[in-house]
Amino acid sequence: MTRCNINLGRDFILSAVQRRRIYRLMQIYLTLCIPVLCLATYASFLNLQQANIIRSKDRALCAQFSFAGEGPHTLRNYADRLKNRIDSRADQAKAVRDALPPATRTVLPLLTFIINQSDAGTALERISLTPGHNGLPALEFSLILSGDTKKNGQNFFRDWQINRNLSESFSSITPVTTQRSDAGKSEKVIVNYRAVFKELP
Amino acid sequence: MNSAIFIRRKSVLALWVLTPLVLMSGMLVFSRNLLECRQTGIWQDQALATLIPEMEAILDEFENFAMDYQLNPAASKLSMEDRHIHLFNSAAEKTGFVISAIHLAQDDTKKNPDSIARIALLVKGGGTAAEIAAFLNYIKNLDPLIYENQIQITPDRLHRGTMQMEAEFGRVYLITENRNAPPI
Repeated sequence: MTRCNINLGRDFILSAVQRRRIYRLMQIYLTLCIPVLCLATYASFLNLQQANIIRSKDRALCAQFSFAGEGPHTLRNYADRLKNRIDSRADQAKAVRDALPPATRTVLPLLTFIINQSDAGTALERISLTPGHNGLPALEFSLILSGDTKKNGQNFFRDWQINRNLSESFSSITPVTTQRSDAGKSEKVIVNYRAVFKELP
Repeated sequence: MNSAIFIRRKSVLALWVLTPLVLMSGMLVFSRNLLECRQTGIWQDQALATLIPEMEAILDEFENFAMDYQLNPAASKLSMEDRHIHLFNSAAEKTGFVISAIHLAQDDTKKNPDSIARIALLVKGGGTAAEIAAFLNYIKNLDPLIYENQIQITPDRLHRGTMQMEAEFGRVYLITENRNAPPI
């Protein structure tokens, strides 16, 4: 019987030389890997240590605030809640602004000024403060000037100009109409004025 | 040596080659990411630590502003109407101004109708010019947020030396059901 000596796998098996070379290369590779792996481990350790230090600093920073100990991201949560409260309050402030008239003014400085003038032949006839078209209220008033009406009228204007409260509140005052009446010996003049409020900054 | 598995199997060879690389890169990437994450976190917190006092100051300003306008129906003993009537009456008592009529009406507010109340306060009365001025001044002192919408001061034809005043005041309120809001 003929002995069959065919090795079908002969091309698939590496030779001893090749196997030895691969083995050596692997040895070299793994030997090189050991220090590199050690270096990588050391670098990772340094990173972790640094991260730990930073976390401690972060905790110390959070502890400065009264809400410390509430959990992670406390500072950010607190800032978020603050922002929500500010937003809510800002909305309320806006709602108040919308509900208020565009400009609010008072007749009080004018009224006080006229009362103080009444000894000098000047008396209040009427005051009318109404909402204006341009946002500013419209103010009209009438004065009764008696005695030396011309002089009293001039004094009224002069005192108006030097009065600080009025100059801060009003930009101008204009006489609109004048009515004269002779009641017995004394002459009376009713002057209607229109005062324009200053626009506040 | 000849029987080493990595020589016979390429997959085992690849495993031997790749394992140290994967280990190294894994450790480095993980630690680096953790460090970056912590650094970003502390930078954010440091920025917030400087911002938070400013935000608190802003909030305080808003709170102070809102406090003047706040109306808590549950907390106050007097109703809004009673409060204003009491205010006008006490002003009249102190100044000698004689009130003949008070009318209170709540305006519709188009925006935020649930949280904002705008009150129109109509007051009619009489007195001398000085009494009227004192009355207005007293109200301003008691509640500076009451504003004058409309005022008509005319001579009183029946009583010489006195004047009639018809005034419409306004007041805006923030309605808060719970004044003791939970702390931040």
